Amino acid sequence: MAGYALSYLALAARNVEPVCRFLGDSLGLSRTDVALQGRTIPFFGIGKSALALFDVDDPYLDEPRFPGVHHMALAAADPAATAGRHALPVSDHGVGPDGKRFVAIAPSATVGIRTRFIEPLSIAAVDAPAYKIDHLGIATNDNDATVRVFVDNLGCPIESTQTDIEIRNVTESFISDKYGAVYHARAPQILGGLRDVFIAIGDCELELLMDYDPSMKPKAQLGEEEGNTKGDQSAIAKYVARRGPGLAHVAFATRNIDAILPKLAADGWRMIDLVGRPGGRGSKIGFVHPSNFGGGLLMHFVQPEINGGYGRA
Amino acid sequence: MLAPQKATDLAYLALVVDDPEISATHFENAFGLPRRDFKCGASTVPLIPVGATAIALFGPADPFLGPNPKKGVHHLALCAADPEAAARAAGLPTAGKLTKGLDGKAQISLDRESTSGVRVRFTEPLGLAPAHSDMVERIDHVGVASADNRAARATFIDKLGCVYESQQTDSEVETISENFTSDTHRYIFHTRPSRLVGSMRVTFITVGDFELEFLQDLTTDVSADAARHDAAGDTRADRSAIARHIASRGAGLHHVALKTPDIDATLDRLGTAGYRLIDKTGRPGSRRARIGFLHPAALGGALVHFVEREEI
Repeated sequence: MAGYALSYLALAARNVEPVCRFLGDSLGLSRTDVALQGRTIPFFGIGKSALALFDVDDPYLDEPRFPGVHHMALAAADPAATAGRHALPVSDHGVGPDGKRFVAIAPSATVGIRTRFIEPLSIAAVDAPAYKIDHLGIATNDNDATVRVFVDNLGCPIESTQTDIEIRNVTESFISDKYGAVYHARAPQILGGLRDVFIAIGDCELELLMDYDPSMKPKAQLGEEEGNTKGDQSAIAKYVARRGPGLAHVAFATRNIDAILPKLAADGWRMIDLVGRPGGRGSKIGFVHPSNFGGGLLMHFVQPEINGGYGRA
Repeated sequence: MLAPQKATDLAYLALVVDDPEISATHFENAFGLPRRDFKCGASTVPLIPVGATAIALFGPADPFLGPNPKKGVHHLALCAADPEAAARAAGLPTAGKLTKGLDGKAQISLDRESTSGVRVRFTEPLGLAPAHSDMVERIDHVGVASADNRAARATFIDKLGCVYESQQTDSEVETISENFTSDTHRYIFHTRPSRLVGSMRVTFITVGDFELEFLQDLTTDVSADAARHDAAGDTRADRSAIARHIASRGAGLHHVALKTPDIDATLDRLGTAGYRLIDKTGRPGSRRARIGFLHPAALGGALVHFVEREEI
């Protein structure tokens, strides 16, 4: 196939233990401890790739380090040659998990998405309620530049593009016992929106999320109510303002979102959504509250409309 | 014994402004209304005859108004040949004794608690000639921030003898929808349940040649918005203004509405003349009217709006 496939996704957490419980005990993913320079890193196989869980201070992670989605590693038989073939500048190289050679691409060359190439890893995966990564959410302010890197240069296919808009409609009525009824509706007002591009990387996609209109003020308080497009737009705008464009969240595909969200709540995890709400690509989605993991690590579930997901791999 | 006197003629409406002299100039020059000056105690009070009544302009420190008057609409004075007898006939308690008011006329105040927070006085008639201009026909109504319209009806209709004009319910409903348009996947459209974001019951009671407009906030579960004078108003903003007035000052007189033959022309003329406007064109208001607010700073701290409507 054209392009490259995700080998593993590196997550950084202040406290690794609850994330391991979430992925292993609650989601049923199989854990493999992988050697890395004299220590072991918990990996969780999922679909055709894996989640690697690092302490936020782990020296394998390049600066700046913060809890969240740190980098993605794409499989390449010869990482250094691959970077050279695509004329991508290398900021770091060495031996990574399971003794595999890797190169890290300078983030400025990938519009802030921290990307590595690594020799293929083999991490066992089982069929679980989270059966694969659906997508990696990218907060960005430049979809076009990101498409030039991952589609034009690396050859990953565009799966689809989408525009999300949230609109407020207001109707006023004045109903009098003498003057009768007067109704009038104000012009619809756009509250927020996102422009999305989905780019396939193996059995999942990068989901580029760009603020529809940067002049719209983000909502100050997030996570206190069920999610909506305005909230999503605000989260993206705030992420880009604070950290610049980059990897913002990870979404897992599930076959029954309305079963898994309450199940996770029953397991004691704080949830933003308890029932699936409309998401991208005809899916239903529901978010896990980042406070479960000390903040920063944003995960959500997707029940894809297309059984088995959207990926072409 | 004479039949109980029904006091429905209004002598004047008192506004408290930063500087009565400056505000009087606006009424004269911009609105084209006449002006007369009356002695009131040690002060000279500009009086603007409008319709069958008049607007009296007081400074914020005028001792005639009692302690700590706030800027805005202060009190209304009903005509009574014998103010004390009128108060007795209405069966409403008075606050203080008979005093000398505008032009030395005898007047007496009613207890504010018993008149739904509206400061009402009885005064001997001032004997003003009716007045109007191209821009202002008369006062259309005086808005009252009301905590209880039923109580207001009982006081103003049953006791003071004013006439019920009409009642209406205003509401503003917000509906939010989301749509996701994809080049590959199906079109997603969904709408969240509608939400009532502002609701008021409005009761009009005729006094003199205009109505008192009692505005009672009925909104629940939505906190009042902060004051916002940078965009055209709506029911949600109006309802918030009433809720804030009740919270900060209690129930009582809130704004004055002047009847104008052409709302858009009037707002345009005032905007061109440099007056700060909240509404730049007429928007739907009560009683099938189109209304537009001046910024309260435009007239020295009193909230005034214009109304264009057909009377039925």
